[in-house]
Amino acid sequence: MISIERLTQDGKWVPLDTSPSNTQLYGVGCNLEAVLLVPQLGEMYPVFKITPKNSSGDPVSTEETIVYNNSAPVPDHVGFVKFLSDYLNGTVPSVYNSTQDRVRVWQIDPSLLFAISGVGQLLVSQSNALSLTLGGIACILLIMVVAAAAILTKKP
Amino acid sequence: MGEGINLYNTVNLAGVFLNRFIAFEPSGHIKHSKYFRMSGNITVYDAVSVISLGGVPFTGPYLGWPLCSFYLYGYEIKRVLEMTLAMGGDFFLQISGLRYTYTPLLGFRAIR
Repeated sequence: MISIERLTQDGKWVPLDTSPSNTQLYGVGCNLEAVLLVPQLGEMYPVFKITPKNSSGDPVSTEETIVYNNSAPVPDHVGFVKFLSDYLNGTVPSVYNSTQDRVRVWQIDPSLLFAISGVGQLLVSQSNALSLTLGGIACILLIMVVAAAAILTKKP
Repeated sequence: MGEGINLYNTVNLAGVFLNRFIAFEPSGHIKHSKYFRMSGNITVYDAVSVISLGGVPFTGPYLGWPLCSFYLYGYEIKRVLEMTLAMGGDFFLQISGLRYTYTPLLGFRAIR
């Protein structure tokens, strides 16, 4: 992790202080699925252990993190509807109208490379003209995919 | 499609609803990438089909994972981000209120 910035209330990006000595608490929202994973991940990978807390900094249980409205938990899709209704009324900040400088990640599934090279080798091993041609095409495709990956991943 | 809202932008929903400035939504939990036109009607089916998984194991038969709200220290937020990069796939968190850069582990990966 090189840097982390958080969005402030006045719309500015400021560095997030991730030092252990920083005792400022940051409010987080997510769904229960993610919170349920927190204890398990902490046990499996202690380096990733986190502890949900209340506004006073005291640890809270998973149940205590659930948001209620009239004694009923508020599901994810209600939040989504709220977001859409705000958008239709024009009250959602314009920052949400763009991709917010997100970079589209371009990845290669390694199994695809194995599949292409395997097909190429299989066809080349058959000693007839058609198989050799198809095998050659598969090898050229493999080279093109690797070259494209090398070029694309050079861009930040 | 220009007038629509890309759903991968609308993962900010938890942040909007809870008035939190940091919100996480697992990628695997977003089941549609449909666009909603501003002039179109949005049905309950539309909303539920986008975020349809889950229930509440503690309090009864409710549809959908409930929203949760809590506080973390800065170094714990960093751990969350490192965890999502390590796990990836459906566990990769769509995030609002934060942006970050990281060093790719392998060649075939973008940086931000």
